[in-house]
Amino acid sequence: MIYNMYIFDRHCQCIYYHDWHRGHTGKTAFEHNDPLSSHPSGGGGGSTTTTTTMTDPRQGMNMSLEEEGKLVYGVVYSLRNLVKKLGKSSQDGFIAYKTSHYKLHYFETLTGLKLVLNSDPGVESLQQALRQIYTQLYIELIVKNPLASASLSGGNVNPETMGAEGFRNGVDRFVRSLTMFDTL
Amino acid sequence: MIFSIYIINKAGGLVYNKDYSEGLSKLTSNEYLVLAGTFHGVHAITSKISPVPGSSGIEMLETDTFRIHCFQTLTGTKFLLVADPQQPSIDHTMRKIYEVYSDYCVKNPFQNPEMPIRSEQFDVHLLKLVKSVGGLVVNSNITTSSNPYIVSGAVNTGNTGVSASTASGTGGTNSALQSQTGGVSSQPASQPTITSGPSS
Repeated sequence: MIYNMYIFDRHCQCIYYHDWHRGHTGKTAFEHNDPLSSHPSGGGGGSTTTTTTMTDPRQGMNMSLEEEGKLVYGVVYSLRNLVKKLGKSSQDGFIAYKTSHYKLHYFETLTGLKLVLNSDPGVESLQQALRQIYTQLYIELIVKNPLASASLSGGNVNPETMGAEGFRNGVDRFVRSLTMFDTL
Repeated sequence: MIFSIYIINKAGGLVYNKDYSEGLSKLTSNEYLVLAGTFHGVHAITSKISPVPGSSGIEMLETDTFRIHCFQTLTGTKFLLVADPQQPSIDHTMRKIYEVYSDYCVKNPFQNPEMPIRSEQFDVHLLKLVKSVGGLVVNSNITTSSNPYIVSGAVNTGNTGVSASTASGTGGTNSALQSQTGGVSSQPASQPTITSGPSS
């Protein structure tokens, strides 16, 4: 089962979010049709919502997507540094981690782009799938598309409307084609 | 192959760390503390960012060359086991580590659960456990890694007094068998283990 996917650029911004099997979990606050809800202009009410999530005993139920994106980034960033420090060779990288309910797969490109995919804990490594998303979809549909890459790198183009639909559709199609997409 | 074992108390402080095999880079004690604190924080966050509700914290971290397994007890103490990806029966090993911890740290009246663990008995039994699950690779590294035990057992250094007093404290409470030798101090009792350690 594939749950969701984040892409972070090298400026720590969540430039892409997509979820698949999350609707039934009660996360009604999630709107997966806004592609870039964590662009910096939306950071206004951050402090108040942070305090509510901290005191809320329910686990992450009322977290905004933006906040969640920041937490995910923080986690993968910390773990990546931890692994780098502990490992002997410098190319030694963090691949995935697993909890009782999900598994987070991580892939980082040389340019600092970070792809994060959450699945159920039984799934084997998805490194190859993430690499394919990068080489076949991101490179082709974002990097080679000046409009989309400008919007995704925080340019003045309106990111909500320009250029990224092809990529979103491509990712959707690709992830749905994975064998573990629907099976638990 | 088991690289190292860390124990993190419920506040995120590192109370025990021991390296068993080469393969990871050596860190300073300060860096180990930072690492423990980072992991503690990340562990808390990973249960929050779960796409499905009710997830635990991070249980296994996978990298190219090693895996970090984490087991959290009900009281919040975390055991981290850094091992080879091929290391078998991690769950069993983890339970055994918890058992050794319960026997030689929790049952030790002189051991504060939030304070660093300085117990020779614990060291010795943990080493024995790691050996029994094939956690050590047989080469010259073993003798260097088990050297500290020999030094603290045989040669009289400044901290021998401390470790001997904690060890005899453990001996006095653990069992009747131990308390017979406990009066003498448990140094002679642990001597056979130490000398047989490198040779086996």
